[in-house]
Formats: sequence, C-alpha cells, structure tokens
Amino acid sequence: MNYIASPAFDKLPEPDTFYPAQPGRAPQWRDNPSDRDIEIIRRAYPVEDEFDLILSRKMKRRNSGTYRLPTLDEMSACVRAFLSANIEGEFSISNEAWLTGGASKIQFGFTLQWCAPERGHSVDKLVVRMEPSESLNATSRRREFQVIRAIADTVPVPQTFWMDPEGEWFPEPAIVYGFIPGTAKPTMDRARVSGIGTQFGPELRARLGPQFVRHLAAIHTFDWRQADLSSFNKPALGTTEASLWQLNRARRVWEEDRGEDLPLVEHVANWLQDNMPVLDHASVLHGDYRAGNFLFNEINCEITGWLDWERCYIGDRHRDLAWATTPLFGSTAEDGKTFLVSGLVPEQQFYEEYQKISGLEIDPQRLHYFRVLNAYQSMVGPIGSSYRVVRLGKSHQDIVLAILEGAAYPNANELLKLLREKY
Amino acid sequence: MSDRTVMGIRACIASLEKIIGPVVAQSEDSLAKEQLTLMTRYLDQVTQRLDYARDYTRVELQQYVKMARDIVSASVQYNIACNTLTEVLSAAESGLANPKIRTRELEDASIGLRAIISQITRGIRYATPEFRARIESIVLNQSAVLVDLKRAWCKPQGWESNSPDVPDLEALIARHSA
Repeated sequence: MNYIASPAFDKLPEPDTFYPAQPGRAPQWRDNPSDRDIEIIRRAYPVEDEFDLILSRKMKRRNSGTYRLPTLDEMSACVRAFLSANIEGEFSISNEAWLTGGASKIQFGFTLQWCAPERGHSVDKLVVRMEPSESLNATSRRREFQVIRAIADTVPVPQTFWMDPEGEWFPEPAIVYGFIPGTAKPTMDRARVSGIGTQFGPELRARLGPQFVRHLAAIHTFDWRQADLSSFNKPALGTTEASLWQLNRARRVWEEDRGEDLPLVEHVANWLQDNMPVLDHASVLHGDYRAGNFLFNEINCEITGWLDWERCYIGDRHRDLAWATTPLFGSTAEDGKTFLVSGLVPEQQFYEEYQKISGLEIDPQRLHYFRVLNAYQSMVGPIGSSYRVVRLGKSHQDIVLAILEGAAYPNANELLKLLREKY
Repeated sequence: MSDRTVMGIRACIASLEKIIGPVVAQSEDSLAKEQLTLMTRYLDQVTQRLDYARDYTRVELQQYVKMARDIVSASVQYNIACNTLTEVLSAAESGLANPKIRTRELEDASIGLRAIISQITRGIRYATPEFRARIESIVLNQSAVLVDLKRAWCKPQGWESNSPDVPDLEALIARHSA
C-alpha cells in the first residue's frame, strides 16, 4: 500500500492514513490485498461483527480469479446435495432456471416435491439466493435469513426454508426461500426499470399506498428483542453506535474497493462523522424499502411479499424513511408537481400517516442526516465496488455493474444540494 | 487514414441485434437476453461519447487543477506548507500546456491531483475550523462542476431521463475549456 506522506499537514493519525487508488491496467494492491492490508482497514473502520466477517472474507478471496456462473446442471447438483443433507425422505426437483433481476444477487428457481414437516406431500416453488464471488453489496445470508424469519408474522415476506451461511453446499453462502407470486411493477409500466420512478396510476396507488406506509410502520415497531437476530449487533440507545457502524461500513467498502480517489467522497465522510445522530429508538430496518422490492397482486392489489432484506440492520428508522423518499425512487403525480414517495404516496401524507400508525416521530434533522448517508452509500457502491467487481470479473453481471456507475452521479448531485441545506 | 472505431462498434451492435439477438431470443436464458440488451445499449452509449473522450479528460483535469490552485492559495494565506500538492499541481499544469500529451497522461495527472486533494480533504478534520471551512468550500464548489461533467457524460444511460437540468456535454466542455 502506498502512503502519501504530505509535509503539508501533521501525519494523519490512524485511522486516517490515506492509501491512494491506483487506477490503470497495472496490478493494484486492492486486487490482491495482504493480510496486513486487510487488518489495517478492519481496525480503521469497526463495523458490526457479521459485516466484519463478510467484508474480510471478500478481501481474503479477492485474488481467487474471475467468477464463473455455475451451469444449470452444476447448480442442480448443489441443490440436490444440499437437500439430501437437510430433508428426510424422498424428494425430487424440477423446473430449474436462473432468475433475472437485481444487480448484486444470483437467484436460482426450482420446484421441490417432498414430504414437508407438518404438511405432508408438498410441491413448493423455491428460490436459492446467493451472491457472486463479489457484488455491489457484500451482505450476509445469515442475517437475511434471520430477519425474514423473524418478521414473517409482521409483514408479508417469503417463507424461509434453509440457509447455507458458509457456502458449504453452494458455491457461495445461500438461503433457500419460497417463491412469492406477484409483480414488482404494474403491467402498464413494464418498460421501466423496477423501482425507479414507477408509475402505478391512481387506482393502484389508492390500494398499495396505505399498505406501503403501514408495513414500514410495522417493521419499525416490531419487537426484535424477542426474535433470533443473533447475527445483528444491537446498538445502545442514547449513543451514535448505530450510525457509526453504517458510516464505517461504507467507508471500509470505499477503502477496500475503490479505483479512484474523490475529494467529494472524503468531504462527505467527514460531514457524516461530525453529525452522527444519537439513537432514540432502535428499529429493525429493511435497508432498501421502496417500490421494486415488494411484489403485489395486480388483481386484488395486495402486497404479497417484501424482498431484498440484505441491507437490513437494527438502527434509526430515519434511514429507511430517507431511503423510501429518495427522489430517484419516486415519481410525479398526474398534476405534474406532487412528488409521490416510491410512486405511491404524496410525501407529506407519507410522513403524517407513518407517524400516526407507528407512534414514532420523524425528526427533520435526522432525516436530513440519513439522506446524506444514503446518497454517500449510493456513490460508494456504484463508483467504488462496481469498479473492483468489473475490473476483476467477479460477478455474472459485470455489464450491469459497469452501467451502474452512472447511477452514482444523480446521487452526487443530490448530495451537493443536501450539503447546502442548513439544519 | 480515417478512424473507423465508432463504425466498428456500430457494426458490433448490428451483429448483436440482428444476428446474435434473434438466436438468444429463442432460448430460455433470461440472463443472456437481459445482458445482450444491456451490451447493445452500452456500446451505443460509447459511440455517442467516444468523440468527446479526450476533451472530457482535459476539462476534468483543468477542474482539478483549479481545485488544487485554490487550495494552494488558501494554504499560503493560512501559512500552511503544501509542498507535495504544489509539486503534483506543477506537473499537471505542465501536462496541460503540452499539446503533444497523450490522453492517458492527462488521466494520470488527474489521478495524481485527486489522490493528494482527497488525502488533504480526509485529514482536514484536524485543521483549524477556519482553514477547514475554506478548504471544504473549495472542494464542494469545484466538485459541483465535476459532478455535472459526469452527469452529462452518463446522460445517454437515462438515469435522469425525467430531469430537465442534466447539462449538455458539448456545452459544458466548451464552457470549461481553457
């Protein structure tokens, strides 16, 4: 690692030692980090225990070569071996197929015929969900499995079946969950990328909007203390722990992955560190709560399930509130001016109904903080992580990640506006 | 000898759409279909931007040079030495003044400035509040131009198709070229 010794300022105290990016075709230390490199970054940015494991694993495997998507036959063989170890009795699988959607995960669908405990002979459509060897968001299947299982009686979610948290059976850590029927976007809006400015139309909005708000309030008021969330660190109330872990996670990812240095990113990290809010109420957070991450039945207009819980953690509800109200995920109503949160609910109405249902207040200052954090994270991933993944050929969707860089700059523009706002 | 790079890429697009695409469309591989569409779109974007690549790189470097000059100015005012930044800046300025410089060398000059300015920005938390505010203001103001450049560059990707204020790349380059 090269350290720039600048006589302009006092030597930067740890953890602020700066290791510049080395763009270009020549080998970079970030392509092949030593144990010492990994340890320096670990110590510089303390994160939740499970994320420490995930990110360290990513770095230790970094020089393991390019990624190859398993063939259907190979994946089927993995599924069979896994099920043999986890199911008693005869079973058969069929209709195996790779599923599309999502920039960071691989999903494999299949139909399982088996003798399910308490149900007897069953036919279940299942999904294996895992990451490629590196992705846009390095996350934990263990955490995803635990939170979906914990929240199952609170909001509609897929049914969880099994997990392989260490990648013992599958090429990568994986969870197996039930397929949920439904669509992520209305038929009339098929051409648009799911979750970006979705146009639901007034009729669907009237039915889905209340569910959207109600489910978020339910998640944030869920009593997680009774649930098995052993892979989640629990932040203390009255501290900035929750915010610091999230900031450090993003900073650590930037340090581990980036291919270019950006003064703006450094500036924002400083601002975030200086303005961390104190936690008043610890909530389970979805982490990516927006249109595009729920499925719904277009006929009865019911939300059938919330997906993509990989970014979940226990922390400040304002993080989810800020994310859900991100301009990129919203759209404008037919009047040409009313901003609709995730294309569903006028913004003020969203806040009012959320507060009424949850009993939790929304603090504009904390909302602002998490808007900045979200925008920062939305630069770190597309600019930093996507660079490293594509450079090293670490996913089955390198082309998606190459294009995703462009998504960082509307976020950067939003960030500049946010930083000019005064609170 | 005329450059046929853009023409060649367009031929790739045509091949993907007219020859390979129909075959993939008949398969059941949804991942292949999705990626074929993304590839043709991305290559099309490349053809829209290739002609601007050198000018873009030059203008980007000019912005970082401005940022660096302002930081050096502020450092002098606050009586803080910044020898490393001054050296890197001087090399970048020489590069800009050299009409024969290769695009790759312009990029390397940007990289060098970005690294030292990023390091300064990270460490500015430990400086006096007044100096810190000054440096951060410089970084923020100049970053706004750089972000606009990137937004303009990525405009064909459609991330901001509903936004009327995405700058035009050609106009931005013209405005910020020295």
